[in-house]
Amino acid sequence: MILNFWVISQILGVAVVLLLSVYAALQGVRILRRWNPASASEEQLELEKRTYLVSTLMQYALAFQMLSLLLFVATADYLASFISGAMCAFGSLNANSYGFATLWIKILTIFVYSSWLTINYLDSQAEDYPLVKLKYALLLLFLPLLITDIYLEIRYYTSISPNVITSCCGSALRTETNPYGFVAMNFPTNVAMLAFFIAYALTLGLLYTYLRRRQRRLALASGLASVAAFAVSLLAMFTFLSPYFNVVLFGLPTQHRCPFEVLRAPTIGYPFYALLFLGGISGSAVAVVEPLKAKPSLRNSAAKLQVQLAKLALLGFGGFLLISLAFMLLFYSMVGTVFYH
Amino acid sequence: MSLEKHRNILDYAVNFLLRRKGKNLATIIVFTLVVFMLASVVMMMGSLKQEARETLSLAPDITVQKIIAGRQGLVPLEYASAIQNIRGVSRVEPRIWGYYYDVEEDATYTIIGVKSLDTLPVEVVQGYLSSGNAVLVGEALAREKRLRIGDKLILRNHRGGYDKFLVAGIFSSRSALQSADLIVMPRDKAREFFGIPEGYANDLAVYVANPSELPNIAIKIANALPDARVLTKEQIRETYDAIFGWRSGVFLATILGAILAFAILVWDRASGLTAEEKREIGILKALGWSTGDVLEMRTFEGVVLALNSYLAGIILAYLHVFYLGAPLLKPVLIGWSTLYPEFELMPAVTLEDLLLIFVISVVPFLAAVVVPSWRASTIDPDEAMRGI
Amino acid sequence: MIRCEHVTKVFNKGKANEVVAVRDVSLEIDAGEVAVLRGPSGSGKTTLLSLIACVARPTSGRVFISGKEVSRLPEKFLTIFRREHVGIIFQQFNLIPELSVLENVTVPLIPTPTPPREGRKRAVDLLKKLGMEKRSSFKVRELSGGEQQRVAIARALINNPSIIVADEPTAHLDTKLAEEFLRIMRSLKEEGKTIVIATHDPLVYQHEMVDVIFDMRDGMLVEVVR
Ligand SMILES: Nc1ncnc2c1ncn2[C@@H]1O[C@H](COP(=O)(O)OP(=O)(O)OP(=O)(O)O)[C@@H](O)[C@H]1O
Ligand SMILES: [Mg+2]
Repeated sequence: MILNFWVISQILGVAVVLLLSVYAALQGVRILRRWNPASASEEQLELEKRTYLVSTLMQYALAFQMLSLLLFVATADYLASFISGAMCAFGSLNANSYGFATLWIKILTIFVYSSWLTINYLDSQAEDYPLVKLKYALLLLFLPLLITDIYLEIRYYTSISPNVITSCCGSALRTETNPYGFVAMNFPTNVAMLAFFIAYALTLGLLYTYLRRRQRRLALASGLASVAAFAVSLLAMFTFLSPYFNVVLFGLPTQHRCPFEVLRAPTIGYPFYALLFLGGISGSAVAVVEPLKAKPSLRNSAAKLQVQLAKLALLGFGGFLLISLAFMLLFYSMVGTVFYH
Repeated sequence: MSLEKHRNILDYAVNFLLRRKGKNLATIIVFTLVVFMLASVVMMMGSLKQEARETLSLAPDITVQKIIAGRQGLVPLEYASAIQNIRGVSRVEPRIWGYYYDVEEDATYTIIGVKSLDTLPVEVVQGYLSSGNAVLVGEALAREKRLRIGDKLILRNHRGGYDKFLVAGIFSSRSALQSADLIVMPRDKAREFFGIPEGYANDLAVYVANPSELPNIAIKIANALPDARVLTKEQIRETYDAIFGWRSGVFLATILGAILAFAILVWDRASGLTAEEKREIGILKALGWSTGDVLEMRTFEGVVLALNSYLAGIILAYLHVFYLGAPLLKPVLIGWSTLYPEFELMPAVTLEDLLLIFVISVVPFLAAVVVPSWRASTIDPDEAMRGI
Repeated sequence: MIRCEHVTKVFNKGKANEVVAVRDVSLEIDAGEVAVLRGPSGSGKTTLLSLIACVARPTSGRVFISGKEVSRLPEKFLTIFRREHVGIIFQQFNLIPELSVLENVTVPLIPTPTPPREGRKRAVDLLKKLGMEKRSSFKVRELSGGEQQRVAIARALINNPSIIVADEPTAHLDTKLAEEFLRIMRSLKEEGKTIVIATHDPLVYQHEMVDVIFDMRDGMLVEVVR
């Protein structure tokens, strides 16, 4: 059990997100039950006004959830000095089985919220609000996700025992000291590297051809590829990619495969990850929007939005790749090879 | 989606706020105070944590002291060889160190003896180093005594005589705790200065190869040497943990209370629109502002207000903690002041600290004003037609 | 241009204080016409005007403007439509007293992508046309009633609407100023704008530019005079 200022603040932040989302969902239920676009009654007008409330609540919830993700990593970093064997956020998160689970679920909620807001945005572009039912039904599905998030997080903090020695980024490589079997660390580096470049070639290629051809299957494929590229990028940061940053920026040994270290150079680390999220979120949204084109009143605005999303995804993934390559080059100029392992 | 529109609305929101300076002043003051309080605590904890981290990183895995009649005494060097024989111990280092009271400055300095001066991470002037009575001094000490490299430092030794030393370098380590009031000299010189007999040391620093064996080795040492006090790094860490964990918990209770009071104030402010504000919003809506546009304006209002108070609070807290030495917080942190008799908090504010303060101040505020802002934006435009 | 089909507006429907403010009104106003809604106090002029101006939606019946049905539009799109097609001159001017004349005139442009500089230029041009350019930095409360109305007119014109709607525009003006107002309306008619005025002032409905008068009693349209 670990309880301090950071932990409580972190939980306060998540509680605010949950509160906003629950309130939004309650409004959503009300709208779902009474929505009747054919009516000009005062009640319908009232419900229309409530849709604004829900949109705003969800926008806030997304923004706060992003902050919560950042704060979660920062808190883990802070806790490292209280947990034996932990040297940075990695060690803290690895202290029990809830740490990384919370991280993944937070990332998942961010994807889910962004997708919802994309659907919401599209819906509000059409005069007949064609997606109202879908939208507010989806809203209800988020609550279990958020409750899982807050549950895992509380379990994570309560299960930390400062005296049990955890393994951190350097030592997690050795399987016998890796109690929660964080597999990424043991993932063959060459395979990860290959997967990274294949995923990026595929994703960037698909997005580019989608922008030229605008075909349905290309949109769906770009979305899938984007999710894959996002996941593979995280894998890369846990395996071959982070040492380039850690060596160039901080002169750490190459065994130090910590994806969080780069955040200690905030002007590089945060934009770097922001680009990755931009790529992943807008790339997957290209596919999310595709089935919505079935509604005739959405076809044009959806197509327009897809193009913008695909461009953003190209920007995000392209930026992430360029920064990675730049650091590989810098590493090369220092060490003389990029294949350090 | 054009940015121009949002910029226009932001401009109008600022204009709207400025036209109601009086009304918003109370909120800004309370908000700034809350941020100031939170930020002072966070910045101080951050600074202490930085100190702790550096202390811990330099601290030996195990410190062994000898206890005579319940007080700390000198450790015979035979203890060192006894410990060296325990399996898993990689290195044992006898340490010579002590405090020195400077009558002139009414200050206490720490003198530490080291094997050799030129292995320390300090820039030294080699010429002075070879003079035989070279020392390195901490920055704060150098400032107090107006010492520069090459100056003489005269200290009164244990016999009552005066020893002359030559300042060969000045510590400018980031950690005040580590180096501020430090004088470092070769071990033999320190032994001579304090009059510590040959074959004895103040304490022993023990280093262990594998950290997971540390508790076992500590127990073995304690068993082998019954009159020794064995301190592990872990125990020092726990002391810090108590400070950062428990004390901050006490703070948190107070502060969460304050936040609550504050949220209520905010709710009160935001939900009660004056007749004039209602009229203006009605007009805006009749003139072609949608509910979303008005809501956006009210949101910007909240954000502008929050960010300004946040920045003001942060700046005030920074000045309070790092320039004034946190006078408002020190009395509360009694345990802290006994651990560190006297030192300046060194400015250590990270992006993460700022994020933390943001999440506990701006986030609850914005969440508290969503519903009132929305309600204000739903005034019907035809009310303006009929005149309200 | 403007067509109402069996339009009814009920306030507080189903409650004890239910009011039928407009009852089954059908009317048509062509582009470029000047129409007057005439009737005693409480006859539903303002309410009907707000339906025509896209400020409110009817409880039943349909409203078409330039061929588009606006009576079923969600609030957001109704607002956007109003912003682009309708300029409103309110009964009690509805200016924002702490703002300057120029700022008041540009308020409708704020939720649009118009750059502030262009908005100001358009406002200055309009104020010049209405003889108000010397007053543009004055606060509204420093103006006379007639000047305030001209600011309100400028504000109604800033989006270059095709329909101008005015509610009791001469109620607070003396004869000279009322004539000045009608002169401005006349010139707007010549520019091809459609104008709808709710009034019971003979000076207005007897003016030669008026093409059609709708007489209202108790929310109903009782007579059309062309
Ligand atoms: N929001 C409302 N809620 C309840 N009743 C309303 C509302 N608006 C108007 N009414 C009622 O509808 C009727 C018509 O009102 P309206 O303002 O349209 O009349 P009017 O012809 O403009 O009168 P006047 O010449 O006095 O301005 C009145 O009885 C009024 O009380
Ligand atoms: Mg009226």
